[in-house]
Amino acid sequence: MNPIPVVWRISTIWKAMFWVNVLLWAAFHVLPAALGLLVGRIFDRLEAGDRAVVGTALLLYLGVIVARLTTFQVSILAYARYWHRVVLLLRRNMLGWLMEAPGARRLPMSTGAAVSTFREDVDQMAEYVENWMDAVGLVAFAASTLAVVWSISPELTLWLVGPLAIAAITTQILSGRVQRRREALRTTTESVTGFIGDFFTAIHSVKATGRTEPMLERLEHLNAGRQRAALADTFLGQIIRSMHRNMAAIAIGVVLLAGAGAVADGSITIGELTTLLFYIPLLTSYMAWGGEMLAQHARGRVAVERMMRLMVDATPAQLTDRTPLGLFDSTDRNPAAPGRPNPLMRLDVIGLTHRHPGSGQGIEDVSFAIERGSFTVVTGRIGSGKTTLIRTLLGLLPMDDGAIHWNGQEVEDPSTFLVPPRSAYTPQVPRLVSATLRANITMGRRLEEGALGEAVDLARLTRDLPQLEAGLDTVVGTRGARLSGGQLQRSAAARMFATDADLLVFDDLSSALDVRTEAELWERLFALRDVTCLVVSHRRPALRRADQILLMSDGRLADSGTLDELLARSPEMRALWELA
Amino acid sequence: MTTATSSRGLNFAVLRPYLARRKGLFALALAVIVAGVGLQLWIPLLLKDFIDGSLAGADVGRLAAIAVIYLSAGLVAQVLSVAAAYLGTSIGWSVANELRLDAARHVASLDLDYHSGISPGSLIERVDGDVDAVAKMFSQFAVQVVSATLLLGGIFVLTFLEHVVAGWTVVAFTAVLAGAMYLLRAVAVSATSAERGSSAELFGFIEERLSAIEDIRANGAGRFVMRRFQPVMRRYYQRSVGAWIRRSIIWTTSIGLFSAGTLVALAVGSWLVLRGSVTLGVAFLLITYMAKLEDPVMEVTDQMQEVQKAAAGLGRLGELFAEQPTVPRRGERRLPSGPLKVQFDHVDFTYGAEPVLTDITFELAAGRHLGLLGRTGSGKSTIAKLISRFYDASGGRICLGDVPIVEVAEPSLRSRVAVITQDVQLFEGTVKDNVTMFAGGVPDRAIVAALEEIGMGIWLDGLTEGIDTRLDSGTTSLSSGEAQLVALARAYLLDPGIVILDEPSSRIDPATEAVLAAALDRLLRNRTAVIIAHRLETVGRVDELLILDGGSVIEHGSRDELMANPDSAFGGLLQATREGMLYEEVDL
Repeated sequence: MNPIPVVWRISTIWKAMFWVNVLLWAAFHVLPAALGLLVGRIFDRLEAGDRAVVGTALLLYLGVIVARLTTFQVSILAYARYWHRVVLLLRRNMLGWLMEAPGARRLPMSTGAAVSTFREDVDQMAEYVENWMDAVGLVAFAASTLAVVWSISPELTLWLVGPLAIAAITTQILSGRVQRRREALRTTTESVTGFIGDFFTAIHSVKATGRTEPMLERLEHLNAGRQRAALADTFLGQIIRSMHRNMAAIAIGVVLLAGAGAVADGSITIGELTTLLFYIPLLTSYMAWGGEMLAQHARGRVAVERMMRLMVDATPAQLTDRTPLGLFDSTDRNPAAPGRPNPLMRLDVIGLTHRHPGSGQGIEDVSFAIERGSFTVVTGRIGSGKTTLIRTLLGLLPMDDGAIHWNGQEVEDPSTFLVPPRSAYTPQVPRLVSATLRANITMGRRLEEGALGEAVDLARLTRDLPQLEAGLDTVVGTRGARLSGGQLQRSAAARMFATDADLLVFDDLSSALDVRTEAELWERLFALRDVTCLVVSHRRPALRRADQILLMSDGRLADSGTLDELLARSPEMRALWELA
Repeated sequence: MTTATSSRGLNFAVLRPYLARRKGLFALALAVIVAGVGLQLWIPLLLKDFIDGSLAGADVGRLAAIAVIYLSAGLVAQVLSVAAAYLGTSIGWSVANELRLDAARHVASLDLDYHSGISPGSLIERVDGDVDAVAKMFSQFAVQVVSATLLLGGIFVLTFLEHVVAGWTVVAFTAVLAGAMYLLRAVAVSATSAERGSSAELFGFIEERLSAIEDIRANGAGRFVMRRFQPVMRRYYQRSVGAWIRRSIIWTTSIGLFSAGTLVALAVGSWLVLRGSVTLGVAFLLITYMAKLEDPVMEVTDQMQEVQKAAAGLGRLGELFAEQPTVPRRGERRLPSGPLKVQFDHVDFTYGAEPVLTDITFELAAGRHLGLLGRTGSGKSTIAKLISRFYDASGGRICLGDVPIVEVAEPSLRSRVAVITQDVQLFEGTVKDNVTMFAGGVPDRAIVAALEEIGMGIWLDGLTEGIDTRLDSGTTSLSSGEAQLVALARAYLLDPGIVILDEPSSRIDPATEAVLAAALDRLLRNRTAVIIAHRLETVGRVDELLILDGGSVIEHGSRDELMANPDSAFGGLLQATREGMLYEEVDL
């Protein structure tokens, strides 16, 4: 994907700021050209012993330095603000899309990889934007210095083009490789650190099976791969560095060789020679930098592609959405609570199908209906598709075929439709965030204390509160790590009850609640509220209470009915019941 | 139970052998550096000759000759600078890798107690982060500091040779540069930590929300997440912009200083030329050398910061290597083949000053299965760890197959006693790697047989590349039940005489549990087994029960007898279950 249109769109968001930055940096880059002219002037007049002119030139030199430093400091002030707006805009837009956009939205990569796109690819993109700003300064510098060199000697200018072009082209080619080598270094590093982590996590079984030595050999093998990657990376990096620094020596050598005659016969003055010697290192390093900018284009392309991959079905316009960031506006806009139009009377699921990309397994053609106020249990063996069924229904997995009807009307996008106040969900392994327990349960909604208390009570979380240091105001740690597994699930259940949704979807509460407490939960829930439940469970109290049981087997709905009906006709159900 | 002698200050002893082993490489690197620095110093002298030659009216031939030498010297200098960097990095990495391997080996040899007290994350910090910082620092520090010192020294000497005022100018300017860099270091550190703090919050927020994406979306909380993101962004913006601006002080100062350096060189050179003390070529040389100060001064100040980081790492590594395992590994006898008898003879075990087990005596005949029951902290898992010799008894004697456990050779013990832990860690690698735990020399047939034996044959048939199929780490592609099965396959491959099983207490769905139970029956057939039971159903599988309370045996006997006796402790537990106390509630 071409990154230029993305840069263009970004540049139009804070237009004035963008162009102020461009001009400031251009000035910063062009000023050294004046320094070269002054040095030449000084050397010419030194030869003549002209004290006054030398003194003036030195003062002018000081003036240019001061001007350049001032420009630099102002540019940084402007640029720091611009850069951070750009990276925040991209991050905000990606996160917003993932959190709120319609459609089944699973991360198309691991959380770690997604975070690294948020971190590195966004930075890469901002650097690419920076490139375009710098490009103007670079061209201005090259044009002005080459004009001076041309005025000294057109012939020497032509001699210079060769080394300069080599500096630019080789850096461009090598920089592209650098990216790949760096990537290789990163993956090999991750495999080493990952392995060390796994090794020590599994230390008990490793020691117990006497496999320490093979594990260390494995580490040695991974180490060696990382070393190869690191050396390849260093080698390239050093060549580029030396292009920046030492290409100047070659360019100067070429110019001296070509210009020896002109210098000897005096057609190039000593001052002109010094100006050349002053410009050449700058020119080569600017050219090498220019080569790197060209290489940046490839990196910008990769960054845009990765960001778009993370956003799955978004367009670049959504990546550069220009809704203000609100960086200077601290008023807290609380989104209005949605009303409750069209309460659930009946939910029809028709031919629901999801196939995992790759394995092709999933669920196939599952149809059932849920009446208001009913209790539906999904059961089956592991891998039979229970969780997949629920997640496809809620739009967390894409629906490859089939339809969902809410009160007879087709639901277009279950992922944004089947949310509170229509439905709420507790997954098998709930995720909390590092905030207070209260904030995790309310998920940022304004909730009255009474409603919160009821939700906590229903989820049987009340008895856990005294064990927590600050009750509901306890900070639960990263991903809720400070809670036990059961507390985590009870908190997630409370979170669901707090939404006061019509349809409650539970994926297996068995690690949160023992059988008796779970049975009580169902009693109280139906006594207190007018709810409809869809529950994955293999426990007897749930199965007994069910108005209908959906028996899943190999991704299909093998049978459905009440417990008695299924026990009478399904050997699979009898087997599960025996084990429950 | 491991003893740590903490070391204070720099402890180079850790590193010395690794560096000593590479004397030859260091010498080569040094030679390359010296040659490279020599060239770097010589090249500007050629320019001086060119300028002075042209002013003195030298012929074209002589000027062209200087130019040719200049050009060739430039090319050689390129090659040398790449070679020096490559050598330095290569030494650094090989030292780091060797040290990392030794550190990992050492950590792996430490007691389980050490591991339970430290997170794998902080071990990664030690074995990866600290090792890297230390090893690279001391190999690259040598290379860079040596070359920087040589270059600086060379510049001083050469400028003094040209003119004493020029020499003093360079020395004074170097001192100013070094002083400024030293002072700016504090600014850099504070800017970096401010930046790190603000980005940690931002990415922490994003990471947590991304991992909770299903919870958030299915509960319609996306809008609220974005609202919470607002203040996070605001703080990030303010702090990061502030950090950039603070850091810009360093940039501005160094750009200013280097420009000033050229100006000073220009002024001093002009003055000397006008006084007739030096030639124009020397004035130009002075400017060139002044510009050359930049890199070595920056490098040395950078390295000083790295030294501090590495010194802290070195201290921590010294502490790590000072940790010693408490269980000596000195036995030489081999355990007999077939199922093994287990005997505990008046065994005591104290942890620190705390008695954990007191006077434990029991005998488990070869091939029998024993269930260990008792509350958390009653000593069940300690008994298991004594049998697998992760601890040594404080008193009494333990024998396996009539051989005292302290006399058994480590490899024999590890292959004859299998331990299956509650949590199964899978590795990034193939199915084969995960079953063998990367041990080579296990025939594929044996691995397939082990997997089939424990009931994963059908699962294996479904894999496109069989046992060479890659599994993702973090149990993503295997359910916890399947991971348990892999653990059984690992044990199966060892063909142990005793299996110690810490039963998983987390719930697995009934169907998978049935598969697991069948697999376990096959694994335990004709083997002695000790099972730490968390559920009463498991007890149905064992021949004998041993009930612990407070570190003492309160009951030991055949299951059937204990079950039949309502006055037994086990009978009481059973009774409680029948009355509706649910098994999850009973802390067995």
